[in-house]
Amino acid sequence: MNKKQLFEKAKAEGIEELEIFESTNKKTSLDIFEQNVDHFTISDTTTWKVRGVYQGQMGKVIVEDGSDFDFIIDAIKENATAITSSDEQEIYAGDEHYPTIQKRNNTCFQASSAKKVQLMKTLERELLESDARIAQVMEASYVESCSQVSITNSKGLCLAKENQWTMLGACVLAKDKDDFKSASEVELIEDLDAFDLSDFVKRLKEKAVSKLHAVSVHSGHYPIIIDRSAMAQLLQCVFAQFHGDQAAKGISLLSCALQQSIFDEKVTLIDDPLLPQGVNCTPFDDEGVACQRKVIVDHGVLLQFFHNLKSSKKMQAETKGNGFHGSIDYTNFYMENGDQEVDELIKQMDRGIIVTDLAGLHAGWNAITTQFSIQASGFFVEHGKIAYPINLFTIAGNFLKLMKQVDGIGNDLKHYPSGIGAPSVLFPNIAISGS
Amino acid sequence: MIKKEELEELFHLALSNGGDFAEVFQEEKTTNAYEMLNGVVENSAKKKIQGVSIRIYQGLGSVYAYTNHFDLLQLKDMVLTLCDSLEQKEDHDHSIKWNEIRYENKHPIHCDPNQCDREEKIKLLTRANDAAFAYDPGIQKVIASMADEHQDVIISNSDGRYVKDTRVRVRMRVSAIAEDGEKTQDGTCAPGASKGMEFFEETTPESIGKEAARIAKVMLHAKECPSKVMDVVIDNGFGGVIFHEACGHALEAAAVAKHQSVFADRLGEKIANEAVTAIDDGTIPNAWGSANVDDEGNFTRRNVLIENGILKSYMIDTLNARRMHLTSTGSSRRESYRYESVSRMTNTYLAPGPYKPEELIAATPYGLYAKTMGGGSVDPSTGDFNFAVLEGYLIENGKITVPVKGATLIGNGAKTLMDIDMVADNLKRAQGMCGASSGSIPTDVGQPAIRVRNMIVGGSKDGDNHE
Repeated sequence: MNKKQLFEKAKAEGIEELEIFESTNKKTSLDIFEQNVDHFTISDTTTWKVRGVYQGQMGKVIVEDGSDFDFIIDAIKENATAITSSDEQEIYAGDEHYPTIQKRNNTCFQASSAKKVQLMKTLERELLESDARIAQVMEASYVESCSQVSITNSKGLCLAKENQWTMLGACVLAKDKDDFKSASEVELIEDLDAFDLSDFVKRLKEKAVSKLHAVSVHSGHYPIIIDRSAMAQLLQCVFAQFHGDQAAKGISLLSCALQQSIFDEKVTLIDDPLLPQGVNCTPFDDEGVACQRKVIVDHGVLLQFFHNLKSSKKMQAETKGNGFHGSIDYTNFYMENGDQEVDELIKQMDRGIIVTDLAGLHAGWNAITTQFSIQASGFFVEHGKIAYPINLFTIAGNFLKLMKQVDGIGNDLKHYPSGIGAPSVLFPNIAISGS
Repeated sequence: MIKKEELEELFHLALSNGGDFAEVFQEEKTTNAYEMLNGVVENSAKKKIQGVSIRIYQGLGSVYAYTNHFDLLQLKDMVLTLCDSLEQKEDHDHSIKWNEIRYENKHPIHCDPNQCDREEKIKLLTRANDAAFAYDPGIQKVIASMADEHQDVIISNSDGRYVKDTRVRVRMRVSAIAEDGEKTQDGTCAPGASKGMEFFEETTPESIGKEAARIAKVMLHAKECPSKVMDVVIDNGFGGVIFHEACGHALEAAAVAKHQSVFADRLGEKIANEAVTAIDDGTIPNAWGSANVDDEGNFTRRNVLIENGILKSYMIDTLNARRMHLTSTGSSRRESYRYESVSRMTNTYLAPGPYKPEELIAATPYGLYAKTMGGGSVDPSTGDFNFAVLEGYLIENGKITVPVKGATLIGNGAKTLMDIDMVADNLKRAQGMCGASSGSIPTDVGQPAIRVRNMIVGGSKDGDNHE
């Protein structure tokens, strides 16, 4: 794209300010099935998100042909004139300082395809051989992605960054007599040789076979431990309540709760774009604002929302760089570790339920009310110990209410590829629907 | 777009370097989206994607490349990289005899959304917004959005097939939020079709706004749903999501071919109650999930999946057809050129049965009447599924009584199919987006009202003693 020409043409067409967000991505992925390469995919794409201020409003367009200036300019004008909202919008001139993100040395990109295929074949074989009850490796896949992003605007801002990641995952089917259960595991890696294959195999195998012969659980109210992976899924759902735009519009139930105690005092939630082990580390957001670490909930008290430029102006708050994807998003969002071993939480609970898997959160979670009823599976705990696996039950309640009383937080915080991190959490009471 | 001579070059390259079949999918799609909050236009956005993908088969394996750089040299490079990864380097016959497929468009539109004035579209949103507010003073916020898309595809392959299709779709979504100072509750209605702007003459914005407001208002004072096992009457329309999750995904070749579905190897067997006949039909004129051809360029079909409880067919794409020793059922779909096409549902529904809907209620002493459903999900390997009830009522003594909220229905597909014991005569379809390996695609779900025995109803209130 000839950006200089686009800036000039836009100006001549009456577009006062213009910004070009360019992202280029190259990706390679491969799947192994029964020791053959089942799928192998390569891609190379470039996308331009262009926005401009026209007659006081912001018009936006996304294109994949960077030379069609007429289309871009017409779309910006058309969209800008459609907007009737009085919200102030701006193209950002930039910050004085941007944080430095420590560059990770990902050596996977230099390795040959043959080596990656071999690694995945070994993974598939070892999973299959790990236990007679592993009936099939449904999927063994490897993905590597490299993307470059640049932001250039008419206020003189010119920023660029690069992001690389490599992910490896597998899904297995465990079978014993007439019962079968599936389980999957993914891991971000930076060095093929450093990947602990036997540990991965052991974890996934145990996850799958431990679910076999799960029984139903009687409906009722139980104490519950939501394990760290399930807790991370719930945190991702509740993010909408901390979304600055939703708060500014009064749609979030927490709109008027700043500085109030909203959760149990054991709960602290943080968004940290500079987190050393984070997957979404970034020096600036999609609007060119420098990213900062922020405590969203401190010991139960709501301190701030996630903002982009628009919502921060509307709520007279400071933006700390959460303008992503044309809206607002988290970077590395997590619940702070507690001080108890998970075994201690189980002992403390004595009799109750551990939820390890949740399904259908997009349907069973109401984003407006945080009312939820979600399909779950996990384990039943008796006398302070895991007794047997359970499945096909639902957990239900209201998440904002649930978080008001937390009996314990584990010290097992894990950051997931989704960018969310959580430890396991013990709640005194939740409604379970089963047999 | 890529010329035929260039396509021939790409196919030659693929077939002389190990591929036994190659396909090129070209796409250009323009999307317009508008969002209004309380009558104020907050967002208006346009997106145009254009790209190409190349797929090469070797036996049961497939390699795939996609890009939005329409540059022949780069495409050739990508083909060579793909071929490098193939284990066999055999040179296959690569003479291409073009067979350009022409057909009569079964999904014509009258008013192309791309040509429709933006202000006209905003007026439609305003009408929906006003109707929702007018429904009841308890409605405090209304979010109305509309999206239209115009997709042109050209699908060609090394068998010489060359086919074009244009898919145009429109959809409106209204979410109304009711508040009474203490409680907050939302209701949503989101119909769409493979139609142009004429869609809003048949399904008026007022009807969409009013329906969203009605659900929000009714559910505001609903009680918590009991958590227990009970009989459930699931109403028509989006209720069909139960079949989509409980069975549909597990009949897709992607799961069946590799024996990752509970219904693999069961053609001709009884897998459902005899009251159940299920169909996937991508040919329904102008339906949300319809198209003239699938994303491999094969004509869409009406596939009877289950007939009177007997499994008759799966939904099959060409690659999995090889593994299954069967043929394609015209069911291969993808969100865009960035996804490798695979067997998916189109418009899937249960055929009508002999009962009147009220007979299902009357025959149920105690249970749940699920009037409006939300989405759901399934693990096709085990068949365990869930889906949400957006508007539910208790059935007591064969009569619908109080509204209840917060219910999710869960179960196991293989068992649930046997437990559908009554099917009414009021078939209706509704629109959804379905997410899976080949991306998010528009699908219709549908059914008449059905009764399912003994479902696990997940609510947050303790179950009472009714049995």
